Amino acid sequence: MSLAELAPQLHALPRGEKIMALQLLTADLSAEEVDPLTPGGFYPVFTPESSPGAEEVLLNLLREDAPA
Amino acid sequence: MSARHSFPYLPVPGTASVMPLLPLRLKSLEVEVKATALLDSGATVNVLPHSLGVQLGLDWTSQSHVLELGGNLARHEARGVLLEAAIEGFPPVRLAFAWSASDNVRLILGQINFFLAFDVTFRRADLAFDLWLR
Repeated sequence: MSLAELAPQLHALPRGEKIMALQLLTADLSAEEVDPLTPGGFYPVFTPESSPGAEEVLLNLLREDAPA
Repeated sequence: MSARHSFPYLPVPGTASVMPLLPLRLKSLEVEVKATALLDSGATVNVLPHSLGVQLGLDWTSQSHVLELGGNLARHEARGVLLEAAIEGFPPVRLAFAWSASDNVRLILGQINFFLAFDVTFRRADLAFDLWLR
């Protein structure tokens, strides 16, 4: 059965079963991550750690926005 | 403490990976955009990719809060912006984002201020994470 044939039935599922279907598929995908680190592979890391002063600027923005 | 809601890890398009990706709606003054954000407890701040800010109607030149980001975003300028975020099961929250000049980044929810607003438990083995509002 193709995805095109399955899609209408998936869309018709109740929310809880949609989540279960997602978890089923993500478990399959996760199981395929047997060796996720391939030599020479590209693994982007987006984490902006140690952003100098950025936390303080954003906290000030939130303080200025807070109701008096 | 608010009710706890569980969300599934979601596949990362184009890869075989799954990540704690949270569907949400971001709202500026006039525009609302559906998006999926990465929960990144190692990120100092929330990050908004440039094109998403443009979709939200933000004007780069009028943003006066200049930021410096670390990691692979260090070479790009950033501006501080405030947005409303609606997450299923919770009332809307105000989130402050570092709006990057780059699009080479995901929409990230980091320590300031997503992890100040929400408590999170990651359950990677169950492919799920839980959120509750502080």
